[in-house]
Amino acid sequence: MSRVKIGVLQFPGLNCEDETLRVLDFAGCEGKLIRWNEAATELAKCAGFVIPGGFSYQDRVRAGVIASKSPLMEALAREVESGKPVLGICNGAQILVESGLVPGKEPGRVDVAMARNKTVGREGYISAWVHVRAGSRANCFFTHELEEPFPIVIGHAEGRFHTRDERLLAHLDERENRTLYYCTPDGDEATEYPFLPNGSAGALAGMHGLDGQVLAFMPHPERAAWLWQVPEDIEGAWSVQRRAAAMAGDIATRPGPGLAMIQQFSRLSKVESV
Amino acid sequence: MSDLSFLVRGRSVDLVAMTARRALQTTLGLGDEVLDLMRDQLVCIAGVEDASAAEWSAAIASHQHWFNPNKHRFASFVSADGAFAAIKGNGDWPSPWLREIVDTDRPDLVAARESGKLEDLLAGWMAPPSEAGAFAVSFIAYDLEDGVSRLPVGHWPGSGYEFLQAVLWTIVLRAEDAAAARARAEELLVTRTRTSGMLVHPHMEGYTAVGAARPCKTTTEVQA
Repeated sequence: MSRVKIGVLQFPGLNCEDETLRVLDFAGCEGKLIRWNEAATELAKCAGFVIPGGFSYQDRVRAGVIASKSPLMEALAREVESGKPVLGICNGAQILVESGLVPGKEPGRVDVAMARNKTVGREGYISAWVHVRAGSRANCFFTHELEEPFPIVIGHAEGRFHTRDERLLAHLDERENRTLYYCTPDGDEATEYPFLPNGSAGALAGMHGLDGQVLAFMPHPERAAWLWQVPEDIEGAWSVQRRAAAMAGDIATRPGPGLAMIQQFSRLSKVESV
Repeated sequence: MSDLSFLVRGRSVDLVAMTARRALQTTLGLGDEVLDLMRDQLVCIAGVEDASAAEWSAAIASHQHWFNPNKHRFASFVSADGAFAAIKGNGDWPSPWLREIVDTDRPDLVAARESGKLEDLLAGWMAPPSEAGAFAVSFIAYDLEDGVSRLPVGHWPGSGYEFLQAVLWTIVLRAEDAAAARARAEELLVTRTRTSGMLVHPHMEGYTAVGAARPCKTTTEVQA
């Protein structure tokens, strides 16, 4: 059975492409690295895309903005119009927001900023395990059947979803409208540090484009795709699973909480791949 | 009691400005419509009073928090009355935002400083000589949220003073006249869509123009 081909877009300075390719393989997909200077026609060969994390163009001017102007992003926007899903992780999320693909209320219009982390008791770069959960009305390709809160790792300095669009803010007031939001281990909305690591509007960890096919997600699912990556001491059921698997000696190949999101790509296997 | 502002610019190539300029020229296809792009750090310290403006300026120049003489050039100014308070309230940086030159280490600007011609100094600082038909337009870009910080203790004439930081962008571009240059520069400055604007994100940053667009002097005019 052929595996669905997923393009991993790389811009100068992104540095999580190898991990992302490995996780796509673990999720039953075939990852294909597409560099920023390759022909845009390469995109047509893929059924979906990931923009991985890192520091595209060294975050010059503003995280993600230089890459967002790339011709490759223009070509990606055309692929999105044809219905292909795109997952932006961390810097990839910042690129999607800067390119107007998220929230995508009007094609290419930039309606959201990824501001510097700023929450009560904490500012600046943060690398930590947090909990997130999906809003039940989000209708996003990547959160399909993702109901329970799950632990995942973040590492960013500019991850605070921020907008001056009052209508968008009003929409985010209802947590079930949010794609993915930071929460406590029990699943309650995070309102303060450390559960809310960056002060994001609506405690957002991820935001999708209008049709649900594009997701800008600040945490790193590829760093939580295997059970062995989960800390033993994190609160909740996943660390219990991890300790049990370690005792049983089969931890190396067991899936972690971040895999489910990547596995959504395998649902595309029924779609004819070019 | 006065507010003190100062500008700091790298002595060598500014990679951030260079990358942004190339993205405008090449990626967004503007070509030689955009001739140059410069970026300065702008800091405004509130109500300095424990020493004279000159002593403050010397302290800033000798302390490497913002300024390293091996890497940067600087100019300091007494700000317009009420500058800091206006900015702190998330308002625009006031215009004129500078009142009096205190010091600069740029030899090409010393004459302007000695003559006390603030406009000459600013024009010389913000845009180098260019070609005929080029205009320079400068904008101050600042965080819309409360970006007030406090000076750390030590090395300063006083401690606990508040300060604000912003970026001064100067775009040199070809245009038919000053008004067209101003309008076009603003389009390039503010990110509206994937294909227009780059330097300021309007959902988290504000901006204000520094004066009108200025015709750039040509190299020949400067040499003469």
